[in-house]
Amino acid sequence: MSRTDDAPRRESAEELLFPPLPHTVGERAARALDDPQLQRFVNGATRKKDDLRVQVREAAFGADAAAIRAYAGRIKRHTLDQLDVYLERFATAASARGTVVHAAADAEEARSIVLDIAARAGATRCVKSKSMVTEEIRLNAALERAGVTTVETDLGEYILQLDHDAPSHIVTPMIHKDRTAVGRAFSRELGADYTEDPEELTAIARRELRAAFHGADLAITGGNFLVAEDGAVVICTNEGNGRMCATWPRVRIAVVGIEKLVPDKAALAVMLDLLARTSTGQPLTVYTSIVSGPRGEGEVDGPEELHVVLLDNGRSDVLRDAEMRDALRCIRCGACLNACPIYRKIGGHAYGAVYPGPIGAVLTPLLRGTASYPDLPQASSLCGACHDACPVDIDLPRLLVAHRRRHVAARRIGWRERLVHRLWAWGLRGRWRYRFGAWVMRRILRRRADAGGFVARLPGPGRGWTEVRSLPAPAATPFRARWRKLSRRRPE
Amino acid sequence: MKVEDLVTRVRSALGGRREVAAPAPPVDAAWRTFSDAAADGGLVERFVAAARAVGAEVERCVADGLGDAVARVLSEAGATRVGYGADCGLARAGTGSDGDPFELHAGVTGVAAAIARSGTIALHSGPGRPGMLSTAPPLHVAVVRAEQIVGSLADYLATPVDAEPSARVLVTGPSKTADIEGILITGVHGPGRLVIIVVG
Repeated sequence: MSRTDDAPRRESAEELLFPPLPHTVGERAARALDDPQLQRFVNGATRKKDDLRVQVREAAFGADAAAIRAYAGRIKRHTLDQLDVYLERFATAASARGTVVHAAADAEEARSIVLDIAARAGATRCVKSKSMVTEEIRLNAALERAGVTTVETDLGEYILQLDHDAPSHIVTPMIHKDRTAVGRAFSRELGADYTEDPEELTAIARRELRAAFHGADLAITGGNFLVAEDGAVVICTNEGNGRMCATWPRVRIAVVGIEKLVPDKAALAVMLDLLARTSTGQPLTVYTSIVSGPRGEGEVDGPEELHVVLLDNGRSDVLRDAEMRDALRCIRCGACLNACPIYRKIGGHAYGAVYPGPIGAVLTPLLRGTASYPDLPQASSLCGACHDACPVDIDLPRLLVAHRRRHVAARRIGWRERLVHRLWAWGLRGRWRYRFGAWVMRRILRRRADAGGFVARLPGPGRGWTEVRSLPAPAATPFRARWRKLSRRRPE
Repeated sequence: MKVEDLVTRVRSALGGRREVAAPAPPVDAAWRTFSDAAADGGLVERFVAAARAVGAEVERCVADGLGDAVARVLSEAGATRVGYGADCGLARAGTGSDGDPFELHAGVTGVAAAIARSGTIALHSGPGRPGMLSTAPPLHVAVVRAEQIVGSLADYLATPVDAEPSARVLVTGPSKTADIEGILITGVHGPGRLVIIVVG
């Protein structure tokens, strides 16, 4: 078996998620397609998770699944439509319980708030629980530069940090790596004896991370939900690292996007009942921590200081964009990534962004500029599997098409594509034009077809299409003509 | 940026201040059916089955047998350094939990509630109930009284509490990961063994 991952990676971890802009998906996608290992892992893992999700949905919700997800979608929609009200409510409730609430307009401000808290607390040893939003604000590098040793404690994130790699999935960050890569990273970076046994590898990580936890004076986490009614921060983890982060170090900072709000505990119940089932097929994640304040009187653990940093970083612009607002419903379950035939083939790094997959293709251009990702909305077959998988009913194909429309309107597509669009639009605008167009296509394709009725190679712009698949030639008699003939036949 | 400024920014993105706040969507009938269905039948039996399904070990005993049941679990595990939460219902309640939790072999705690549908136990922080007792040691023994079991997560979250604890932690099975090739491993950072003793 060949091992392709020993070849030096072409990008640093930073460049994987923050490539030079504008970023086009094509080049990294082509590399991913040529990587047999990535093809096997990502395809296998996503299919398994997707199958499990469908099974669990049927078992738990049965015929009511559609109604329940529509309800969850309505709750998120309602919260986003009144986000100002719920933000205010959250800040008031959280402050009343002794939580310090901060607001950050952008990544830079969020980083400086976090560094400031760390400096004031004199904290130098930080443990982190997995958080995509801290990737979004590039927090780790800033902490390290400020002299705060920062250790990722989710097993997958820890391995990526050791191996100078970046997450390629929002739930299963090292979906693109296998056990041999972990074994090599551990023996190289930790001096551990090489092993491929996942149980032993986990034990090594546990030992290393115990020491990090024990000595930590600062914990940084994200947040899966913020509950407006009680000012609570909710994190969902399976390994227990999130719980450890929330309980042991004396200072905790939760960095959370403003879209994570839910109105109250009743709404939280709906979201929690959907999140883990959709994400990993569990009824709930192993640890769901609902923290509504720092250590109380007479308690011996829990943070002495609890900070919540509410992050905008482009989100209020998405709110303003009524057509795209639904993208903020996302609860980051990762189901659309697992369901997406494109993600399965190109993996997460091809998207060149913190959030990959269908939701990433929608969200990334909104957060980082439409012009920065010119071909990202094309990284979809619009098959609708992502919408079907979404627990909060985000119509992702509609949002992707909206992005495409904006690219066309802004003339960000090439002249050839524009020409094709024009011809297509012209041809569909009248019966005779359509018939003429269909006749031309039929003639060309049938002439090029082989004996089996397939076109193996097309010239010009059609070449890209036939490079990877053959095209079935159209029938000699068009369906229209057959239909006319059939409908003349009398029913019995 | 001040929090008020963020609120103003979000308000302007939503088209300015609205006179009347829109009501929250009414509780969906399908959702209610789903939540209520969790309360059907024997809650204890359903809880036991669900907790086992997520990897917890479950034992049942009568009130008088609790001390023996816990002692047996601890001695079989060879646990000698044990922290007891104030709410565990044993004579030793509240002892052994003031040292370094990372040195403990086991933590014994009570629970605030248990959820039948998912096999979850709910732990509420408070004096004498340190969260680390059930986080740091490799073994967590949780004592659940049968009458503490509710049907669904929604039921649990709707149950009023005297004062909101600083932390509620819902624990559903032992610590797990599937980060390496999707292979399930228990006992990463939290306890690798969760033993639940149902009393009554």
